[in-house]
Amino acid sequence: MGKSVNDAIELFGYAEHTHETVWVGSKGGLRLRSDQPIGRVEMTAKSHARTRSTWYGVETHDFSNVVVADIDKDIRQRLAWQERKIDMPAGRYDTVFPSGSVADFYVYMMWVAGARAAFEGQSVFSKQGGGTRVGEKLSNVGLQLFSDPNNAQLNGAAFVYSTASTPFTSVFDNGQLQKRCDWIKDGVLESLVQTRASAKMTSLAYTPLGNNLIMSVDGATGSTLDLVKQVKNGLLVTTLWYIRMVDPNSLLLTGLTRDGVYFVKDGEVQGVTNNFRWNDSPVSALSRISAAGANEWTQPREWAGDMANMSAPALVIKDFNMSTVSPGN
Amino acid sequence: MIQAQDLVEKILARASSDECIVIVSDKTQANLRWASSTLTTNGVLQERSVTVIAFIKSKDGMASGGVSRTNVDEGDIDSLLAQAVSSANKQFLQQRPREQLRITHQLPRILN
Repeated sequence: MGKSVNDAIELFGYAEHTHETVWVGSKGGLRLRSDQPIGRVEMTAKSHARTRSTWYGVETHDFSNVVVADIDKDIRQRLAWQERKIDMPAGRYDTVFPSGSVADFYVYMMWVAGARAAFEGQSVFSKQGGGTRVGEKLSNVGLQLFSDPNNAQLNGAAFVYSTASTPFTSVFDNGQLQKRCDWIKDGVLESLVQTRASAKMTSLAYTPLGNNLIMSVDGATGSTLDLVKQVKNGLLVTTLWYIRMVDPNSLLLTGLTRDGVYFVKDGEVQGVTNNFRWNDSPVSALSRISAAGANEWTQPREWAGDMANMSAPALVIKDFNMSTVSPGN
Repeated sequence: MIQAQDLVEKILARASSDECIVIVSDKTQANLRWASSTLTTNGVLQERSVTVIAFIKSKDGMASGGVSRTNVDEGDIDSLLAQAVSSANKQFLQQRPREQLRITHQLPRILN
């Protein structure tokens, strides 16, 4: 912090570590326990009399992977990019999303991925004329989205526990084995979130929602900045914020960009531009992926604390709909 | 404070419903917040949540009812169990309206 103060960079942030242990027992003899340590650091940095602002987030189990020098390097790079300001109009842009904003976008998709709602005609995953869209190709790339309690980095509970029944979980499923569930496999919708009752109703496999979510694109490597190099004319966002539903049928979402949008030309950041209100659907965006980076452990910003165990790649989404200019910082 | 696993055993030992599930979550947290490059707040949190779910058989199937509370000690066990059972019994009374709800849910699909 001393170094930042010397360079007139103001730091605002939050660090948290939580350890949760869950015990489940039944009269019939079930005895299970799960330990889940999780933490995160969020850093907002402002400079030049607070006219420049950026954000960085990192998720952790024990803070051993939190490298302050990396946070410092990233925020200084982004604040430096903000030296040049370029106003851009609303429109559709090829947009680079860091893994954290990909997480914010796709956690929402999982929250409406209940099989029963789809089967009853109430979600983006409902099939016209009845049934669900399971089996339908959703992505133009070899995209994988799954939950796996045995993932080496993002451990999850090995069993299902539910204190109250919801469209996603049932108290009758307490103690069921949590296995790997593929939600999207090779770009095809493979399964929806099930209780045992909804699995019977939809005649699909029982696929309960796990504690973690892993997204990857086959063969994809590199970082967010490597993706920037592949963009001819587009934008780089920092984070998405205030994400809300517009139309459940297409899962059209709206939200804002926050803490820095950058204009990219011929693979290089040219400077900072204005923030936008955006209107787009994570399901539709799956079929407009023009480049992807390596899968990395990441932190959603809006849903930080709601979804702790997620890894995702940075993505370039073609023609992302930045619907209006947002005057906010 | 009573150990979580002992609490689970003690609740289950006194449960008289056809089935009973107990879920105990123990959470500890430490947090820090800073603004204008100065530490502003720090916090330590300790939380226990206890859920008791009672299951009661009837000729139509199995009803469930649950209750979640914090700050539970051994003296609260009987009232927790009674509340879960009472909540499960209410499900029998609600069965008729639930059936009707299911039918209205299917309407949009018929209209398709």
